[in-house]
Amino acid sequence: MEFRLAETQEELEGRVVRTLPNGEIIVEINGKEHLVRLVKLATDEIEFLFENSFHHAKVVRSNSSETVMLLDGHTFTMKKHFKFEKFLYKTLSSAISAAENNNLTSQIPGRVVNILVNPGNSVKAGDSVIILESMKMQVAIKAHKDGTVRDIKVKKGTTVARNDVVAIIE
Amino acid sequence: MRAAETVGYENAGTAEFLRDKDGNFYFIEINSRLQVEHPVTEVVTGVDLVKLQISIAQDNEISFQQRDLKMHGCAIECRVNAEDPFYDFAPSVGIVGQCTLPYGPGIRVDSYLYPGCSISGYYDSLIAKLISWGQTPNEARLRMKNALREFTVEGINTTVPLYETIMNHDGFINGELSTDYIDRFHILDVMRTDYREICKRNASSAAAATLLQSEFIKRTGGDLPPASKPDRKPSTWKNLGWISGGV
Repeated sequence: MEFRLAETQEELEGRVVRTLPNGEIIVEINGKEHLVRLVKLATDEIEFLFENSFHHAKVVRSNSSETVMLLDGHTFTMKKHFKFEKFLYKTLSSAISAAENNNLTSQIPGRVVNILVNPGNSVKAGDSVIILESMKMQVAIKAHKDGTVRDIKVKKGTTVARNDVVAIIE
Repeated sequence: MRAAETVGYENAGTAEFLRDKDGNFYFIEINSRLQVEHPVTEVVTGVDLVKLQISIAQDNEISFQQRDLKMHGCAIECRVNAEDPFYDFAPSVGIVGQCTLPYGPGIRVDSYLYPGCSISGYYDSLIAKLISWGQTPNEARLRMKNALREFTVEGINTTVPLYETIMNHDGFINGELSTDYIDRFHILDVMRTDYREICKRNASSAAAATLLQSEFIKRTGGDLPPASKPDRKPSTWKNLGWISGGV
């Protein structure tokens, strides 16, 4: 199995080699064998000794393309089949990605307290477009690229969820 | 004290001052209430300020004088906020999955966090106050460091990684503190580097965990129930420091 650790962009290759009679497991990672002893194993939680040091992993989300886990409290994002995905992205029609690329999305949920631009205005990447309020803080949604504002998708006072499209910038 | 007497204020309050680089003090404000850092005062003096505040409001006499207070050891407080320190401290709201609050000698956690609780955008981002106490500043720092490592909350981002970096940072250890501490030492960059280091160091373990997990799903079809359900009875208040380590 091939992985890419999103946090460091490091590529890893690993496989389970064999299980020993005493229940210990030999895994091979990047050509090196490691001894793993399982303490607890469930669909979303693993406790194990990796080369005699204890780790606790909680799987936050796992699907065929990535596993996101909290390993000892730190987030690790393991991309699986990333080589195949790279290939897919390359062959996908550029039109789809270009259209998606116009969407300015909110990274956080919050209430719209101010809209700083009007359709037709030109903006530069990093310019504040919309001000959201959440947790008594005001946070700006900034333009993700240079361009012209085509549409504002939200109104003052409305609430937006994470990843909602708030504006179209072409 | 004189300011409070002048306006006839009698209860717990906080006077704030700024100190400039030449050592001059400037008055900012007086708050007629406890501040977020009051546990630091509580653990080094052993006085329960909340209880005292209520007692004063009930017209009771304060049973001690300033000179009766004995400072005992050192304390550090980290205010844990639901914000993403890796992303401009953006508010982080959501439902908490599992969470582990640290405990042990010299550690106090004031928090309402529990598995399944909701962190809403309608309130401010403070989710826990983590207080450590030690005989010396360094003991308090080491205890805080361990406590931060044990502090895990699933489902939201917190400012814990920032405090972990600060607790390990020479500038903090040497007491070179000021309001521009974060900028002066480029603490946010240090935090990012620290985090990448942790990821690098544990990449093999994370790969092993991913392998074992997918092997497990393959074998069981993933039908087994998850190990933990976020429906445990909430522990609404933790004040473990008071019953341990003389804090």
